Amino acid sequence: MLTLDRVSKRYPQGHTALQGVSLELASGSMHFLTGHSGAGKSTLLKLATAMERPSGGRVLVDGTDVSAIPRRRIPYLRRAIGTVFQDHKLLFDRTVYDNVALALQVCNFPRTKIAGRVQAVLGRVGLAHHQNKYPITLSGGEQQRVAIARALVNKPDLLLADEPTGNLDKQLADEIMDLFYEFHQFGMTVLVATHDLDQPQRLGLPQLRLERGCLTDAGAA
Amino acid sequence: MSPLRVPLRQHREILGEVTGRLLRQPGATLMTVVVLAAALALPAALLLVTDNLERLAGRFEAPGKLSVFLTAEASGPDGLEDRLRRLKGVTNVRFVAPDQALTEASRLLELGDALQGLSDNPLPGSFEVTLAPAQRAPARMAALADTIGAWSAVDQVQYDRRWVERFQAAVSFLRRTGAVTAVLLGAVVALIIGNTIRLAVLNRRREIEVIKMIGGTDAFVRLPFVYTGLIQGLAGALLAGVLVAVAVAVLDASAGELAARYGSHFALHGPGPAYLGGLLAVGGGLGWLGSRLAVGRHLRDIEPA
Repeated sequence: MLTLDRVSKRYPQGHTALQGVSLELASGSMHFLTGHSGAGKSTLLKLATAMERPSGGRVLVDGTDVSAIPRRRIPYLRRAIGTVFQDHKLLFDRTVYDNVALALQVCNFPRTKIAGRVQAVLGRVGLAHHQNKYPITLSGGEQQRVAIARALVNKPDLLLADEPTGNLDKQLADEIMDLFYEFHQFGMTVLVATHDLDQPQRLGLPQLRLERGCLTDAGAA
Repeated sequence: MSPLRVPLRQHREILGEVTGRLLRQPGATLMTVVVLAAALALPAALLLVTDNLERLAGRFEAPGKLSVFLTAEASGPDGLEDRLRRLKGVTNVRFVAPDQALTEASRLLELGDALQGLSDNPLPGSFEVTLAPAQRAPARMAALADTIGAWSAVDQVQYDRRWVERFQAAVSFLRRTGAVTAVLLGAVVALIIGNTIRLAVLNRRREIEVIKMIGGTDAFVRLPFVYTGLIQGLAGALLAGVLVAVAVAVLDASAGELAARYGSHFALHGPGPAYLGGLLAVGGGLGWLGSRLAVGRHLRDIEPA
């Protein structure tokens, strides 16, 4: 589903974020991407959604090389990938419902079918009764669930999460990770970047460990 | 990506959203529209003024007399007088023989008998042709003078058309001034809208980032802004049209009164459907152009990170 082939990324300022990283995520698998801050976790995720371009090597999403994807095709790539960020990137002038519905609107999803989809996904993340609230009135954990609902509403094959529990306490973090695990069990390919080393062990899932831009063999749990 | 790649249904939804957004900020929207209307109304009014002046110039009556000077070789009045009388609109033809012309000239120039001493009369014979009032429009006079001037026995045709030509030159100068003003203020309109849209883009930077992150195309991001510019341009043009129409209605009464004092009848031509249609097209077009340029410049800079 996601393949990196000797990928490196140097920023114009000279900082090297990734160096010769190769990995392959099988369809339906779930991995944790671990490592310290600045180890290159975010960069790796951004390469998959073409938010960054690799300096060398190839990045393949579902068999398509996205390393040099034309600008106009990027939106269609991003629709096929669900992304969740630590700061969840919600729009605070719209309701929970509208935030999630936006992901369908940009794909030109028929308006009549949007309501059913949005309500179903909000139900799955446990926010069915919050749909008309504004994100600012929700707790941090609930806000992150809205972001997850938005990432999932388009039924992507690949879900990428960048420190999704960075701002949450242990119990809320566990709940969020359990949610990801649930989606993985439904067949979605999931990659979660986190510096929380307990989560791979708790869920018994393999981790990919980045150190200074290189993949190490921290191995599977 | 062309906006046509966005389906019609989505155009409708975006249009509804944009209209709602503009109406939720009535103060700011109204300010922009009023400024645009002022910038559009000035050249639009100038155009209407020059149109009416041109129409007026077409109705001015020249004195209605042509002087047709014959060549020295021309034998006499006989055949020519009949030809002149047969011309459409000619009411009277008077022949002025060379001797008679000499007498009149010495009278006019107060030369007494000085010219009597000339051995040879240098003046040609001429006809004084009077035209019916309906034939005195400048264009008709000019055509008639050309026709007669082409006859072999005719040396030249004169009539007093200088002041009519001056008036027409003044109107055409006014028209050119209007054209220059229109170009300048058109650029102003595009810049005002471009700037409004630029601020809107920066205000909604976060929203644009999110939309791009979840797979919105450039066209999807751009369309609301382009519609905003289009609507503001159209609204400005509409208000400009209303301003001009009101101004015409106010001036029409006094123009009629003025014409009546000269024993004439004149009504201003107000803005017609073609004029208003053109105004809307220009306003909408400039709105579209200004917003398109502004969004295009900033869209690439805003990327999710």
